[in-house]
Amino acid sequence: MYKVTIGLEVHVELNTKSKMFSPSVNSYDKNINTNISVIDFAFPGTLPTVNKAAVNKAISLAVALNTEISSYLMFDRKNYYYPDLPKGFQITQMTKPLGKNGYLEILDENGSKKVFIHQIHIEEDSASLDHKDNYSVINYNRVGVPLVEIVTEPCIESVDEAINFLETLRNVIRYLNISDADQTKGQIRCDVNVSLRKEDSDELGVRAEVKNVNSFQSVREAINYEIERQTECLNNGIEIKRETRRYSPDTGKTYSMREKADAVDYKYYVEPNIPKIDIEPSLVENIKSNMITLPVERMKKYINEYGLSYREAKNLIREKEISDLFNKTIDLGSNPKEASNWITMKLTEYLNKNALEFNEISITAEMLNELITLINNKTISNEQAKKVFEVMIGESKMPNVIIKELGMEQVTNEEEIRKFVNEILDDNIDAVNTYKSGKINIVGFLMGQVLKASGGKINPGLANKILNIEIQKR
Amino acid sequence: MSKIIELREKLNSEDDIKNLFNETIEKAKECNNKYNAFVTITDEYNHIDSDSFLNGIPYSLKDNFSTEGILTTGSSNLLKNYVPVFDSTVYEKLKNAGAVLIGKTVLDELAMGGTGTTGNTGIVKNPCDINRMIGGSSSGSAASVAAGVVPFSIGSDTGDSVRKPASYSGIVGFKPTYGRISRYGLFNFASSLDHVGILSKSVMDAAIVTDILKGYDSKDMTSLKDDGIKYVNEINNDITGKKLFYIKEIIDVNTDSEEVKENIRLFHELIDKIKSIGVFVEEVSFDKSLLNAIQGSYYSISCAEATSNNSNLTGLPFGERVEGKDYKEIMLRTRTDGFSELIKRRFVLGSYILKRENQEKLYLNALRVRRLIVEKMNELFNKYDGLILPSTGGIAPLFNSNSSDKLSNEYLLLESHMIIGNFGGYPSISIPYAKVNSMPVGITLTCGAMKDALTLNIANKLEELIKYDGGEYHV
Amino acid sequence: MVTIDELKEYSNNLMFNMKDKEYETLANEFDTFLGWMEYINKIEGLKDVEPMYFPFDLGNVELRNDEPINSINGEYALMNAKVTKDGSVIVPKVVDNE
Repeated sequence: MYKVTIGLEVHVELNTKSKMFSPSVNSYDKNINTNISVIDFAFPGTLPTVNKAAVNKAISLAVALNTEISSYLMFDRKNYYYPDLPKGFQITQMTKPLGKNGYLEILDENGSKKVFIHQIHIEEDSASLDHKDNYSVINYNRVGVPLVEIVTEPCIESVDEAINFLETLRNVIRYLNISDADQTKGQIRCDVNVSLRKEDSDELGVRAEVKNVNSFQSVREAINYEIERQTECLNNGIEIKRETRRYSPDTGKTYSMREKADAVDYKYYVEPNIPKIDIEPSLVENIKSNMITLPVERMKKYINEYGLSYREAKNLIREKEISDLFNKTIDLGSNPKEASNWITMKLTEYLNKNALEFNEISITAEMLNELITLINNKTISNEQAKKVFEVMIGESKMPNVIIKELGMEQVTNEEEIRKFVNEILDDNIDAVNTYKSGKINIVGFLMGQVLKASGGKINPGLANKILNIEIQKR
Repeated sequence: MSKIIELREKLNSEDDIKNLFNETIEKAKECNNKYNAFVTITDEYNHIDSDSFLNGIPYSLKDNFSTEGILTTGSSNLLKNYVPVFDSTVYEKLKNAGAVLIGKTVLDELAMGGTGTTGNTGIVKNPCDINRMIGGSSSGSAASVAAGVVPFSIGSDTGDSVRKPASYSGIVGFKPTYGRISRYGLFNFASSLDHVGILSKSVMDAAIVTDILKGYDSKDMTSLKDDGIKYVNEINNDITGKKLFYIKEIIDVNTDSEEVKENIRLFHELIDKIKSIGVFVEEVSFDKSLLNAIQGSYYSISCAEATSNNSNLTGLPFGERVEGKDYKEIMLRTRTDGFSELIKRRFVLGSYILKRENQEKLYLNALRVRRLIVEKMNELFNKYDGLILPSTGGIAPLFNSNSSDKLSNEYLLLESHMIIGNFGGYPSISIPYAKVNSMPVGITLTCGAMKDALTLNIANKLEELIKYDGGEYHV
Repeated sequence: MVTIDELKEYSNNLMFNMKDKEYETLANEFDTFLGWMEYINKIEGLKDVEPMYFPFDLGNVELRNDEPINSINGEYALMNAKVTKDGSVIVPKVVDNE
């Protein structure tokens, strides 16, 4: 049998306000040619200028991926002719990539693994081609959008691992706020390299490169198809060609684009219009020391320190704002398990039911913490809490305010409860007699009556206790 | 003897400026009939009033500087109808300084040449002798100044393209320090060697124009922070005690050419004259193997950079597009028709140099030689204020001479040493100093990087000393 | 040293063709140039020297602040484009075979 080796090259569009080497707007616009400058068109005489925010964002990712960061920035030209490339070259980094030799730790149910990062570098995006029936329109809006490219070592060993890596990476990127990494807008794209080797072999097999796979689902399909295709080839004694392939989302298959990926010589050389740019060590130190806690670290803490399950932890870190909410709620004193339950179950349910995203609602740690506290000191019941929760989010109010408004305070005064229970017993003599005749299960029916009549305001635990005492007296 | 100041004294009203403009346009047309200096002669009077030295002064601009709304062809077929939608920084500054554009001048195609014969709009003739070339690539710029049409012109210098035609036509050609003047809007030829340069009748005029044009431009990352010096105020400083040098291996040529011999003889005479005013001039030896490497290194770097700098010329968002069945055919036909054969040969060479398997030996080694030359030069500039040499070996070649004959390496040094100014980004100026066979010859003064004021100062004083009277080649 | 066929391939990769006669001229120029480079490659100690990409070190370079400028009008920007449709430059449909 064969072992699969996967390497990924991920391109991410940065969310800066202007482009990488030109000052035009960096923003998705469905109209054609609305975010352009003369530099984007590569008119003769135009020159590149480097976007400071883009560099800072790229450095923060390089830090988060634990890479060795270059002490200076240098750019190169990658030369080729294509209608989407106005200059006839792309400005990228070949000679001195921004960061090298890093890793991204990923977690799964069984434990953790470091996926090694070969390098991370800065480059610019090309125009997009809009294909019509017999012609293609060149949309220059995307020319020059800042890109950061992350290249892994060929060390990913399964398709699940590959997807886990991508999801983890995307999450890191979103936590750092350097990109929305929205697949549907083409903000995160992959080239996938797949090779097979015999199980007992140490040598990597010949790899095929599948270019421009634009969703994680497609990555999964492309890898699976490649494994199938290559397995069949090898089983039939057909050699795997070192080639570039493209993936078709319609068929779920990959197709050969050109043979010998090596055959294209891009004639890389140093971009002469951008001088060497020193990266101050203090800048990198600053970024390192101000770095927020990243998703995998948070997950590990939730699992190891708070005893949450892998799945719960994964749910909590799925968005930084959710994880922040959880963290803050704990900081205010809530029990992690309880806070987790509310967030991973009730909140998730609420969002799904109302087809909302987390950023479309407003819920604060103070609200959640108060809700949990009120349940724990028995001011409200679990049933009531569910209602309070919905109102809390819907109307953005603190729980104690809601409780007052809805008159929901639970009665916990035992005298009052005793009086109430006896009223119910008085109204249900038949049931009392049933109880006395030995069918003590009838107490369930009586509890139901108590709860119904009280509109859920009586604390059920206490009511149950007192009912059992009072009915004995009858 | 500043032409600009002379003119300024006569300009006392908007009417004066407009009249001067109209006169100059007429001169430009006549100049074009005789020497073919212009691609475009302005047909509209556009003047922004300003209190600068250049207010109302007419000038010409090499046709590889972008001018919004005005044809900018690079003297290439591919761009013969190209009208930029933005201004080069140089043009913008001159506009705001009140200077008045007379026209865009002919160049060797895309600035890649040195004879003034390769532009698509025909050859440029030397106003000093119409049977002779004016050199290039800022050919039309030089002709327009030499013919007395305009007091200054803006050109570009990548290997010697401002200084050589200046020398061949008896005018001043100044190439400031790399980055001193913004290149934004100047067609890229070889970006690490390209400089904006000024052609004028006097060093003072070159200083006046440079003062207006210099300064940091946020659109050009290679532009220098302004040095805060007004060059015009420095050019009359006393230069007694300054130390100049010339290179033995370049001057000691073995040549059969009488003109070259005469030029060298006159050069030695000049050196003696310079010494007599209290300036030290020493002969210095320079590693011959490095000198002989200049030509190859320059060719390698300039062709390699030029190839990718012109990859944007495909006919798609601009240019003389030729249709085809797919984008490849469109690009192929557009570029085949659009470029002259000479340019294509340079591009093929450039791309060969950049091939993965060739880069180490053909490109990186050229860049290494560049460093060796520049480091040696920098050592010399620590000891000396400036390098002085004849700008060229001979005089402007005749049109039917076989100037494409292979010359011996020794002679080549005299013709290619100005490249040193581009390798190290050094401020370098050619001023006319004598006549050989009735044709002007120049000397080039090069100083250490950033020393623009010093360069203009020494050159100005030498100009005073020389009192070159090449005669006015009026149209 | 370099064959005419190779030169044709190189120029095709640069998206142009040359006249037959020119390839011969070019081949000669290649010889001249390669001769110069051979001379250079013999310079002692060359491989230990750092290539010089810029004429001098520019020191502290300013990066551009992330403030976008107004977009240039698309139609105006493309006034030199000979073939446009649907608001921009068009080419015959590009089939993804690079």
